[in-house]
Amino acid sequence: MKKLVSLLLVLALCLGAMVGCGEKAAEKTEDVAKESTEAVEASTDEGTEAETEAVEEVSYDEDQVYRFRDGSEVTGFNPLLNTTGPDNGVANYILETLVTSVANKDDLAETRPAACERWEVSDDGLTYTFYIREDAVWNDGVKVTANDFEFTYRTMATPEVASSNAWLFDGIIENFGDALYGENGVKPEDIGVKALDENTLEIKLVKPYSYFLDLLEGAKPVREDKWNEFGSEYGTAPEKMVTNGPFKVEEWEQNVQMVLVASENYWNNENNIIKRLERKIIVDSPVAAQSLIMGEIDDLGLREPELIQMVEAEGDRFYKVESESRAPEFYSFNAANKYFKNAKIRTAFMLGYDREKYAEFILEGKAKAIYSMIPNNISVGAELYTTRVNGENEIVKTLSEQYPDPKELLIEGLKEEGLDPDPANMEVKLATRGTSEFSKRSSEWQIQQWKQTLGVDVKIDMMEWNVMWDRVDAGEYDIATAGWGPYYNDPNGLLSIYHPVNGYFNSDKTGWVGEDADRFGQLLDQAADEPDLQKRAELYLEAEKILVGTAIISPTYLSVRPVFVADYLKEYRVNPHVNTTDWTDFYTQGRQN
Amino acid sequence: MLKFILKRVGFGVFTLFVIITLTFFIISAAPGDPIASKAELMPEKAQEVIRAKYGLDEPILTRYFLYLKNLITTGDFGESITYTGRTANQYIAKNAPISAKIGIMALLFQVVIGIALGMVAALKRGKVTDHVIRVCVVLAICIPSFVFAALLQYYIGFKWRLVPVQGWGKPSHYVLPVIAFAVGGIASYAKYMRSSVLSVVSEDYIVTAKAKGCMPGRVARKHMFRNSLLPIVTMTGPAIAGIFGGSFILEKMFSIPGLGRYYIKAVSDSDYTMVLGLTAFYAMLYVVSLIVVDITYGLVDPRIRIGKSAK
Repeated sequence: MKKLVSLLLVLALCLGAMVGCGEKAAEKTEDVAKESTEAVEASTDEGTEAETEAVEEVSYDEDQVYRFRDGSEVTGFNPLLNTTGPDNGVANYILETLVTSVANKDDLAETRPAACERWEVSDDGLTYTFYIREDAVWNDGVKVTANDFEFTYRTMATPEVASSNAWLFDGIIENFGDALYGENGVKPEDIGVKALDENTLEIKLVKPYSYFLDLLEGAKPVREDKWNEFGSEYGTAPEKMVTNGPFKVEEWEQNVQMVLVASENYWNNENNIIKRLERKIIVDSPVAAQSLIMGEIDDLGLREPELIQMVEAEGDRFYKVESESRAPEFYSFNAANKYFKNAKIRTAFMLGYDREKYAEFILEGKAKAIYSMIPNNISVGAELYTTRVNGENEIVKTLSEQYPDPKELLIEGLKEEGLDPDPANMEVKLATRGTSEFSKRSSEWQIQQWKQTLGVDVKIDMMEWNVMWDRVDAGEYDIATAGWGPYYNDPNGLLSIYHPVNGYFNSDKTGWVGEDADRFGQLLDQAADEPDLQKRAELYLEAEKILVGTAIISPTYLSVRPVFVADYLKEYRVNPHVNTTDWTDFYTQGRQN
Repeated sequence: MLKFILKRVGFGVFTLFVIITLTFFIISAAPGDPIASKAELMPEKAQEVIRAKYGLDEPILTRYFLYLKNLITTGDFGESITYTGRTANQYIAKNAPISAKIGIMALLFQVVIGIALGMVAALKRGKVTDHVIRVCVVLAICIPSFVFAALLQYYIGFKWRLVPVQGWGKPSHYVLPVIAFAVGGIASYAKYMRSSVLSVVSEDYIVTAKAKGCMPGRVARKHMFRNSLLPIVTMTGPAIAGIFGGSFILEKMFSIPGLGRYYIKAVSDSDYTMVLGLTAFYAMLYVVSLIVVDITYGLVDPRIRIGKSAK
């Protein structure tokens, strides 16, 4: 008995010792905090003096570090094989392709030269010539050449490599698709990417795609000698690759933390302010919110209202930035279904719910109702699409005014198809894109709306996201809860998915055939060939009038996520079209943790 | 004894083979596509190129035999589809020890504290101590471990700032996960130990020892303790196998790079090779632990040992 008690005491003491370790760390941070508050106070005094001299003096913190969270670990560092969301995020830090897009001071997406110093486009828009920077080097000191990019594209076009991003360039770069699918005897060496000399790269396109530069980030470079040296293990560890980006991986503790430091060989390293990145894996949102408040990370996007409240209660420590998505959420109707082959029935369903209420109730204001397939932040060239077409793309609004009673429209459609004109007898299923609380709430709200406005009893078919996409592929659905994120900043990124022949949702999956579908495909093909941007925008509008106008899809909302940023992070911007931060601009000032 | 061990090992290998086969066919039949997680929304043609690389376009029996051949000749569970260029073996080698570290510490706590509490409750049966312990046990068993984890994170980590809320690498990172892991187990061991001790207390040899004038402490230590341990040994065996797996939920909450998280991710990504590799690993551990338990019985209870060698 005594022995048992003493054993328990020993264990309790051990626990206490470990808790002590934590306490010491807390004490240490407090001391540092005191020091830097004094430093900040001192610099503010200097600052006021400096202001009167009309010279702007920014006092940068001595250690420029940025700590952030990702919910998932990367699957690897191989830019040709590892292309999931988290992979792309890290690839943007350690690798650099020909151009990059950042948010400028007006928070607009701007394409800037990166590995190249300038580029030229031929008059017909088919030939791009990139001039590689003289001082661009890989992190081991070897110069970055046009041959590296030529090798990268050729490797992507090699079928055995099975590169997961290769499909982006199919139909864009000359001969790329043929080489990738092994058709017409075309080899990877025959694709339209040629290194004219060490510093000049020429790419030939199939059509004058104005958004071609946006696609380039999907092909981050690898170097031939290292690719051959490491073979299938290229990119499986930081030592097994070469990088040419502003940062390099210093430490990688899988599923815990990745530390990246500024790469001394990077051509613009002197102008980049942040010198160290700490990427922490925190899966649970509540834990992430706690980490933010405890100062373990510097920024965080949040969705859950109770967590948002928790962070807002911290007052001035964090400021809020709204991040608007460029990926519309919409319902997709199966045009092979006996009801949804009729445009009036589809339109009735499209008009039969209140998008503003959806954004308010289900998403608690973290969303914007949309009335067009194309979000307002998408551009054609340098101007916004919606400006170019004078807002005529808000087709759902126009149709609501035209058909104030969706139920009547529905009954008309049912009669046209020779079906039972009583909406209550319809058998329709709504496939959800997940089984979470959110999926349940939103789908239940949705069927209630349709019941109220149309008198239809839609049944919910609950399933995981990958199962839903499988069903869509097989054409086994009535209504699907779809969404799509465009790969580049152009309406084609969204409209092309419904191209009846080569879209992701082609006729086989959507059942959309006939005159309308053909005309839609034609308009998209025409727009692809049209170098004049205004005419192109108008062609897209015509196409949308068919796609949304006949309600093949029903656009619903765009998510808007609040991002909480620590007050010491400056020049912080969120723009859905950029692929990386402007490191010459972004910095920390007044960090105390 | 040797024959006994060999027989059990042989049986174990057969069990393993059956498990691998069943898992292969079950996960191939389940909906979900490993390619889907790769570049999310890729046209069909491009997907086929990738399928060809991993042999996913072959008929299922061909894939099965190819897999077995690879496994037997190289001992390699195959290249992961999600984590390109790496095998399940590498992940097991790297992450099993991490799960194990937390698991072993938690198990120690569970066994030691659980047994102690169980004995105390049994000896003080009917008194206040017993009731308190029993209520705590019921609570600890019913409340899921992740609820405890969340409470611990919130109060000890976040509100009182005693230890970090998540992460890995420093000794302070062990505190919350180990406590969260241990709570449920302490309760189980306490419960079983209590009932086991109670059944031993009424045995004849205990009454004899007391009648002979043995001190209560000596009776408890020498006679009751060892005889009550058998159910505990039964539980501990598989528990040791379980610690390598780690609890997925707790690993996720505390951002611990353990094996459990890879397992769940592999299943949701339909990463066949990873799922098979990890399942085979757990199966192997479980089988081994059962054999070890059998042998340990013999050590704890001489009657079993004699009974076996008499055969």
